[in-house]
Amino acid sequence: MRRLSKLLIRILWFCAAVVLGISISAQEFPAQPLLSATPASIAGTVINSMTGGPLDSVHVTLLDYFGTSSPYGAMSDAQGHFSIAALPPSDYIIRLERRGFIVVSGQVVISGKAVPRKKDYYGNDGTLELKPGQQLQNVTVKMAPRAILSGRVLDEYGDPVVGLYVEVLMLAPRTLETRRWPPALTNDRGEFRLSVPPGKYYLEAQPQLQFEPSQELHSANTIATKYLRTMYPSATDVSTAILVAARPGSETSGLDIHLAWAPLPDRVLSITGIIRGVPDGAEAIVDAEWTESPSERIDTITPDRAVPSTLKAGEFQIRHLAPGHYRILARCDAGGHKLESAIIELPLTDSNIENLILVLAPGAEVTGRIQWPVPSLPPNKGKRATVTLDTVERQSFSHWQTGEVAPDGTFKISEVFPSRYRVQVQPLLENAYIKTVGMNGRPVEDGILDFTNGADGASLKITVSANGGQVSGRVVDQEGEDSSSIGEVVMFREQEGVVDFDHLYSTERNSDGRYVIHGLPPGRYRLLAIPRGIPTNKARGFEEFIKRNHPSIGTNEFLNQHRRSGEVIDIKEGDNISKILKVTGKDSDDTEE
Amino acid sequence: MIRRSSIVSSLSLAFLLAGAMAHAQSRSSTELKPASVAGRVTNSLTGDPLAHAHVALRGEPAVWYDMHADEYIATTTADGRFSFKSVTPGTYTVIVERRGFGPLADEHKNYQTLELKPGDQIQDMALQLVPDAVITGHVVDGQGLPVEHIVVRAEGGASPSVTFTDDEGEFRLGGLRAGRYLIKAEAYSQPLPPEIRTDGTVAVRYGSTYFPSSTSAKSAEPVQARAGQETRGIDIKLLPASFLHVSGVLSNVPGDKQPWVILDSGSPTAMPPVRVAGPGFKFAFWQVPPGHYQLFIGNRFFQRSAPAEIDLESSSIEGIHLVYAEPLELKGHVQVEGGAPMTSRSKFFPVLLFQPLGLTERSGSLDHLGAETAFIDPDGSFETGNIPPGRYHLVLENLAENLYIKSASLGESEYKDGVLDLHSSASQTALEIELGVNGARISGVVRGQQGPVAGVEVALFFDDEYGFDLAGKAVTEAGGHYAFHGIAPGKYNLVAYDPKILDRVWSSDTLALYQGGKEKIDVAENDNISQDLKLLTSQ
Repeated sequence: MRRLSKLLIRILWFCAAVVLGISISAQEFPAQPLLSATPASIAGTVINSMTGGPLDSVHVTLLDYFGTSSPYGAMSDAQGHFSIAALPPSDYIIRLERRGFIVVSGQVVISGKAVPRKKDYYGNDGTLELKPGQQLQNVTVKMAPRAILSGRVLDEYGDPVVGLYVEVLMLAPRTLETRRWPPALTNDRGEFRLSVPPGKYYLEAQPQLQFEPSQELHSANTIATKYLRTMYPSATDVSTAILVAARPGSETSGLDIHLAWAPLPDRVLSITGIIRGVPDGAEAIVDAEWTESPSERIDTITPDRAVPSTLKAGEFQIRHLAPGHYRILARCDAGGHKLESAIIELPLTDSNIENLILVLAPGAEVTGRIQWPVPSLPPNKGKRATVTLDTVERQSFSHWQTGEVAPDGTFKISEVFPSRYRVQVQPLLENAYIKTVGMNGRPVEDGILDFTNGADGASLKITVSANGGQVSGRVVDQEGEDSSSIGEVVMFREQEGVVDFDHLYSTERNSDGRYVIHGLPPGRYRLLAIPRGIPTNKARGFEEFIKRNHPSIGTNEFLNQHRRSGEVIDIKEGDNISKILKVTGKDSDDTEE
Repeated sequence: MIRRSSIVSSLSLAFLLAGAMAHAQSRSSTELKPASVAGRVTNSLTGDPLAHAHVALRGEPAVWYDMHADEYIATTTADGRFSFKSVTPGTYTVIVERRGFGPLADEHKNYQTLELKPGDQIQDMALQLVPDAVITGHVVDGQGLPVEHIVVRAEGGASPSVTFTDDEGEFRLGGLRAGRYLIKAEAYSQPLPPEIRTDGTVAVRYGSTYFPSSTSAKSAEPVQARAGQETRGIDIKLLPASFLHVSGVLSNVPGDKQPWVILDSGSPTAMPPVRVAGPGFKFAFWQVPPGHYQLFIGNRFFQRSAPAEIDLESSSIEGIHLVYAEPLELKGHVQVEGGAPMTSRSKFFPVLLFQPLGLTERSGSLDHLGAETAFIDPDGSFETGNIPPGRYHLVLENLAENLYIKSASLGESEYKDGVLDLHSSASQTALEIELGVNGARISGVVRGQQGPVAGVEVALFFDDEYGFDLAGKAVTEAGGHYAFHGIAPGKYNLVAYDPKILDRVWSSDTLALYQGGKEKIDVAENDNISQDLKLLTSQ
């Protein structure tokens, strides 16, 4: 019933990206294969990973990783053999295609040794470096008979739902990885068919974004609903979802997903009020942010739901709001001078809120001094360090302000508006961390500055220690093989078994495949190596990803599930800890029934 | 790719906005006595009541940027009935939707406007929906084996649609309006040179193939989709792709630039663009299907070279030379013959559009999107930047109705047969345009199956080598009347169409799927041509 076209575009993009992704991105690289160098060759066998026997009629392609030059290809014969000669030396991506079969990762083996894996989102597996004159023999590549999962997606009346994506989630406890396989789209009968590698999966149907609930007013006899992301058979989180076995070469049918739904609010409300302190000729804007309940720190940000509107000078009206918990803020940019009101948090339940008064005021100036570690050397000569106040709340109107640190350690930060802030100092020596933050002579709990009632007259004292903890090591897979290329390490403060997203650290690997996290404040942490492809660079992206796909991550249950691979460590000042981490779960290439 | 596919959503937005603009009266006060609306939704084919249909009354927004206008929503009961007991008086757009059903064709009944006065009680609003049509089939390769994950597209018709094949090569194109469609199995445009094999086997690549087995839309067999029915057995056997390539070299590229080169067929699945870097600035498009293309530097709307026209038939084309050129800055002057004053037709500024040849076909959109606009000052002078070299139609808008472009010259270049050729040296001289006062008039009545139709559009096309470059558009009024004024002498094509269907899915290939509508006309100065038209229909 809703519009299908956007979905189809998405899926088309997906298909196109799967095929073109390699070559388009490859065009960014100017490097070309060495056409003049002595050619290399490759020969080997394709194996059916289920039977161990040879697999014929497999189209083996070597795609040059760097350029746009010709792909090299071969077909495997009745004995599964294939061979390609006269290859220009280069890095190649190996692609295997055979109808009814699917590549499972980690299946390119040369003379008994696995080829280092550089997997990406699209499931390309194994880059192979061919040196001039190199003649690779006995390469073994494996394909598994793929499994089919089929069923329908049905609405609350049992009617088919067309144009929904259905995806497999390879979820805890085996792995956190999702989305490696192209999703299926339901047809006009609500049917879907998914081709996946053998394994066990949760199946999830993803309803499109629906009409904004808050714009609806309803007639008396109907309840408007919104559909939720639903896992087979009708679950909104893993605890009630059923794992589905995808068996090699066969179809698991009848997997009907009954969409879960939630009623939409049966009324819409408004907030009206007055903004005070708007300078002549300037325009103020009101931002509102909605969460379903105040206990959720952030659930849904819908800045567009609240249409910023200034009806008359100083008056504002935000219409069509769903019941919930709101944060409201007025702001104004008057000729380069920023004015903001305090953030007002209020519940909107039964009736409209009227005559809300938002008072614009200039930001405060915060001063302070940094106590550098002894010897009292600022971290780098010439360039001044900076102190940044960054809002703690991940709200749509979060902001930060920065001030430079003078040689005597003093700093000044202007335009600090009411909010809660975290202090950051940059740059810091490799293992340095902010040890204490004090305000007006008192220590600040957790280093979080509470300026919700304004920051006027705040004077900070920041102590930096050079003796933060350090954790480093390798990432291995379940068999203990080096697996650094597929794992990323995240680390978070663990407090009573709950993930503290305010203290989430992630790390990229060094060039030698080791991970390092520096400058850790003393405390208890959980270290986790998770498969690549999950956003970790920004804590926010990670948090959203985790919340969406792993609703249980904040719970002891989740932590117990990952005890096998996760590590809890206590870090004291100056610690230098080495840890080998196992990637959570592993790729689902098992054959269990 | 995105542009063309975003049709449906933009359309509904357009409806929303149109509704909002048309009734920009002040908001009804909440103290007014509420109105009520009740009615029934039925299946237009069977007359059966439709349960679980969504009926919405969408009010006008208070301010134009407020996308959250009041909306009343009801779901129909088992007997197809819905009711809104208490509705604030005002103007509403009535929208009815149900999965598996679509709006009635040719008319705007599904988006009708409803004016509710205080205390109004509407009892029997009758709304109808047409069951969707389905086209199903298989895609197989040269050996007859099913091919998985091939994009299958229904082109033309009233509701272009797309899906892909499953593991058994099967596809279901659901949600279709009744009409004639071309069904295309789309092979990926692999931008790589052909695969090399050294084991004695031969690589076969399949290309995009129309039902039943043709590489071009022209020789494809249209498939009839019928409301509430499934058209089965639309099996497509993929044809091997041609291994044609198009290559060449760029010159004059500024040292710091790595421009893109576009090979544009107007198809939504055109070849991916190629980025070209120095030294050498060589480019190549591999595995290009046969067809007509425009090749240029830049992107669709910011071209940095004159487009090269390419006809790929049976052999590859190499050695094409594209010259990078910054866009032209043009100045000029418009004057009316005999020194008459230049009068404007409306409150809008008169504008001169520089519309590249082939734009309508390339953009797939029946508007002037992508043409460069120059505002004409009251003294007749105009200037504009960002015009890449190339050939252009000049189109006037918002001038007095009899005025037309009689002649135009830019140094050596003369405006001839409605085309002006702009070279990179053209910036040096002024574009002088003379307007004639005796432009022709074309008018008539557009008729659908049930007689004259108001609210549909008539497009006037230059009869150039493309045949469908837009010269102007008119909307039919009451009685189905349309009229064009100020038409320059020349040859034109006229097409009457329902904008809901054709406005943004334009393609001369799919035009063949529709019946009626097209007329060729020859216009002389001061003509007053009467030309009635039949509304294009896909049924």
